[in-house]
Amino acid sequence: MSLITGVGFSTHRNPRQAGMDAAKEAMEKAGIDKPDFVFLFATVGYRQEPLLEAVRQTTGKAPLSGCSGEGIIINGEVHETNFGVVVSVVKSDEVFFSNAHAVGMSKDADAMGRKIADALRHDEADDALALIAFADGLTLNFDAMLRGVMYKCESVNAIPMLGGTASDDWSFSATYQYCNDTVFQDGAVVTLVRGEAEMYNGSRHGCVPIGDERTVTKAEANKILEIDDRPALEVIDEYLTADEKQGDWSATNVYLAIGVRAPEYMNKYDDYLIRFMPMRDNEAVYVPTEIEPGTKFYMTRRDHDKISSGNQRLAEEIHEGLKGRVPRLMLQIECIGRGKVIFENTEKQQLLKNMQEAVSKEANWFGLYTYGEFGPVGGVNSFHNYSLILTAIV
Amino acid sequence: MEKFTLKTNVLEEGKKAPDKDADSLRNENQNLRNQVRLLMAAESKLYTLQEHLNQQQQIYAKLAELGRKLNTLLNVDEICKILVNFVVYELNFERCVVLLESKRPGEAGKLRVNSCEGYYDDAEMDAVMNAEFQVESPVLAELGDEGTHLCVKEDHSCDKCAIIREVFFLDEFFLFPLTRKEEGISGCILVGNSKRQARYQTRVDSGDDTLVPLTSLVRQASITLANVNSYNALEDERARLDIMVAERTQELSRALDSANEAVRLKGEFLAKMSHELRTPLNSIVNVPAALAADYREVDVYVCSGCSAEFQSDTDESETPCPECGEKLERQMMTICEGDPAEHLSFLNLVKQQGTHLLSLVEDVLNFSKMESGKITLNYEAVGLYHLLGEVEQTMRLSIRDSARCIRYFRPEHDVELVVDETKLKQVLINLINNAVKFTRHGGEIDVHATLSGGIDPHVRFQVRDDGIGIPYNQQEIIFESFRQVDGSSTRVHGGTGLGLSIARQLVDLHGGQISVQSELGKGSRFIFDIPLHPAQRFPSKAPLPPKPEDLKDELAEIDCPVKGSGTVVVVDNDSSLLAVARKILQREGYTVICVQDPTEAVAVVHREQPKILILDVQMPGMDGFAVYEEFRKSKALREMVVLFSTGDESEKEKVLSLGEVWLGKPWNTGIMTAEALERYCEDRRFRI
Repeated sequence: MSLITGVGFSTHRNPRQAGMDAAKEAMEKAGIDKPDFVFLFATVGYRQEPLLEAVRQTTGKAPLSGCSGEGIIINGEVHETNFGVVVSVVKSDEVFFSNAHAVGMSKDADAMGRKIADALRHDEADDALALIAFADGLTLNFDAMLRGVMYKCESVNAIPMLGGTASDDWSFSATYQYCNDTVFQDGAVVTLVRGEAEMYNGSRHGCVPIGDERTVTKAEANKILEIDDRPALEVIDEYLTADEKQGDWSATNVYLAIGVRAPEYMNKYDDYLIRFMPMRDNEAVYVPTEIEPGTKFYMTRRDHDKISSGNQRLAEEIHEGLKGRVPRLMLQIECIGRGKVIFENTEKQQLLKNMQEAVSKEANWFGLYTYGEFGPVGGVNSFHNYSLILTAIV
Repeated sequence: MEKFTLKTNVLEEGKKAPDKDADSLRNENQNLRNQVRLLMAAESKLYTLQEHLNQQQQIYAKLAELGRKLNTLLNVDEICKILVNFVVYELNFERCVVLLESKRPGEAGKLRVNSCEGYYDDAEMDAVMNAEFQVESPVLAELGDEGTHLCVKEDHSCDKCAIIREVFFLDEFFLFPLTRKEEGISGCILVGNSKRQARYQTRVDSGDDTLVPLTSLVRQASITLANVNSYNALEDERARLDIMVAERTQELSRALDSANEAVRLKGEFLAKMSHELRTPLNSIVNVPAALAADYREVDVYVCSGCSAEFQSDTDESETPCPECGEKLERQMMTICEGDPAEHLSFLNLVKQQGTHLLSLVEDVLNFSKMESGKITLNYEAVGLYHLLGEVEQTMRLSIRDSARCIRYFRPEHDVELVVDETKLKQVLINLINNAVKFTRHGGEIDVHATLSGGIDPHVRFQVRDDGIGIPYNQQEIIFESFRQVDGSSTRVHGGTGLGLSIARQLVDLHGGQISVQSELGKGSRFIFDIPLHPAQRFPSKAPLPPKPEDLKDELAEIDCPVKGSGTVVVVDNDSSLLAVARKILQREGYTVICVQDPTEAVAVVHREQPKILILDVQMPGMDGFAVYEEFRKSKALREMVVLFSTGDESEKEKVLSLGEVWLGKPWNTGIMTAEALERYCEDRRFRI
């Protein structure tokens, strides 16, 4: 037995019914009675606790990792709805999954990461393939979390870290992470994948720079105070229409992001690393990673065509890497800003189908719309916004 | 840079254009941008409206489908479950609760939760399912009419709403009444959201998009539930009638079984009675025939001169008397060739069988009277000792030859009872006779009478024997009519099977109870209680009971019969009865004049002025009372004792009211003794 997987989903509005239906379907498709490990993504219209309870009961209390999202992705279908749940089950005697979680991201993301590292002990695994992390999308400090999780390893890039941040329905009010029987916030759950398998991973964003290059002239951690020696908010407002200026920032920030010039090792990836600005106050805007004064960047906007072509290209690259093999499981972490806010539903479904056909029609595929994405670029574990992270396990 | 936005392009292109043209182009460009923006906004709005319309259309289609489905249902629970599911999973509210009038006893006017949806926490679910509301509660009081509702938004605050928020975990809600025609509120539907989940649900507001489907749903629910209630009420009524029919059928079936059993028992009874009556009749009919065979008629020649008698088989009528030579006269004479002792034995047998036949007939007649409710008690004051003495005397004569020992146990003090003496004696004699019947020769029978005080004072009579006993499962049925422990045609013990039934009915008429304790092979104990009248609760001042030695004296008197004297006139249209009367009374020492014609009887009585007149009541032409009227005021006849002879017990009272003696038919030979008759005469003289 290598790796057996199955994916099931439900859009039933009853959380218990939805959880049970999705888990049952996943196990039926896998042809197993009890999985070794379970991934769960669900949207925030559900009461999370009864949903998780139903999945746990149905899957026989198998270890579980997951988080909330704005929508779910399965084979041939995207459901950006408040009521959608996808369950992926795995069973293998060659590939092994274990998980750990901790809370306290907003207080000390490094310490939180260390707790996870102590529990997960991935530094001791010679056959570690990757870490799949799901973290709170509202309180994330990626760099600090990464440092904590990797504090026992040779470097923060010792093991590839994939995943993304939990999201809600653009309300930025609460996101949820799941670990086994626990639903929690302001934390992260990390899953260690090890054993005899291969993992292929790629990422793409779909943003294009607009205007002139800018320079961060004053910043504190992830807080940008000044750009080109002017108040950061004044500079940003120049990129906005009158409606966008008057609108709610949580809606406006979808249209605008920062494109930091990518380092040399990322030249195969793109020219820019995208950072969106989830929050702003009276004096600054905030980004999900730390940013140093002197950092050069462009303001960017998402580009419909670039997203489409980028997705397709990434799928083809994965397919090439697989060399004709059918992946056992495909994980798609997609930015919330690349869904229905930019694509009409039919187009979005078609885009997904094209991508899935390019990789493999037979692969079990599941995914989630997030506020942020994790994926290594050029061997460096990186945080992304407005991006697609595609991972194949074969 | 792979691509630039239009805005950026325009700005860059603008830098290259002449100022005037640039302004013009900028303005034009701005206009175009504005138009594009308007077009896009309009298209977006149209798209949104179209989506919204599609959603509404879907909802109304589902509502129509729901209506059709509800119309096919008859189960209230199922209907409520469908309603809450529709609200939560089709109309997209977070929670829905249906409350209906409680059917529990003593909960009129109370609403209880029938069904709810959207509660996924067990504690919340339990709390909601146990919630209740009074129809008269303030929040429901406002919702009297169909079509009204309460809309409470998240920011609304009032005391009436607070309780619903608290009990049903809702921060915003609609409250719709469920109504029945002319019956007011029969329930309500709560629809709403919690604060935590409200943003993902259909919000509570008064917009048509929200209210119209909900109102339509509630109206449909009201109609459906009212219809189902009516249907269920009809069904309940039908079920009740079915049960009644079934019960009545069962009752009729039982009655039929009972009637069949009664018919069977009566058939059995008739068969038994046929046998029981024919058996003594066999002796009564055949013994005289057998005895008659011992009698022969012979010719006797009597001398007309010396009266000498000569028996001869040849004709001697021409032969002179050998004694005196006178002529002999031929006469017929009956001679008995049998053994006189054997004849006496046969005559006793006839008497015995006649007495037995009489008791059978009396049983049947008594039972018949009881069945028709014609029997009444003639209450009179009677001493307990006296009663027992009467019974004892009767039984002594009855069991003279039976070789059973009967012992009587009296209470320490006598007490006066107000009872029908005859009937009570009948009960006791019946029980004692039964005991005699079912006790072996030499067996013992005890008759106890004890007084019991307390709040329900009574005399308890017990008749105990050491006979064959009664099986446990038969102990109840022996008091039923026509029942005997052994009802078979091969039974050993005879009788009508009515004796105990009669006894029970007579005891019942006295306000008492009869029961039996018995063990097979060891004997039986029949017990009956006769209530004491309040005035009888204390021992009477009656004379002390006769002592055994006194009884011996009485017996001695019985053994030395009194001889009668004087004339007795017997009036009856039955010549055979007159013959018997003559025989009995002559034996007792009386001169007997028998009269068949009642009109002649009046003259005879006036002429003979007899000591005793025995007068049949029912006679052709003139009844006994009419005859009696002819001389009742005659001073010359005031010492005459009149015995009215009748088989009709109902005339007893009338007879006694005349101050005369009632003589039941057939006659009790105990009464037709000189001793008894002379007592009546003494009593008459004493009264005068």
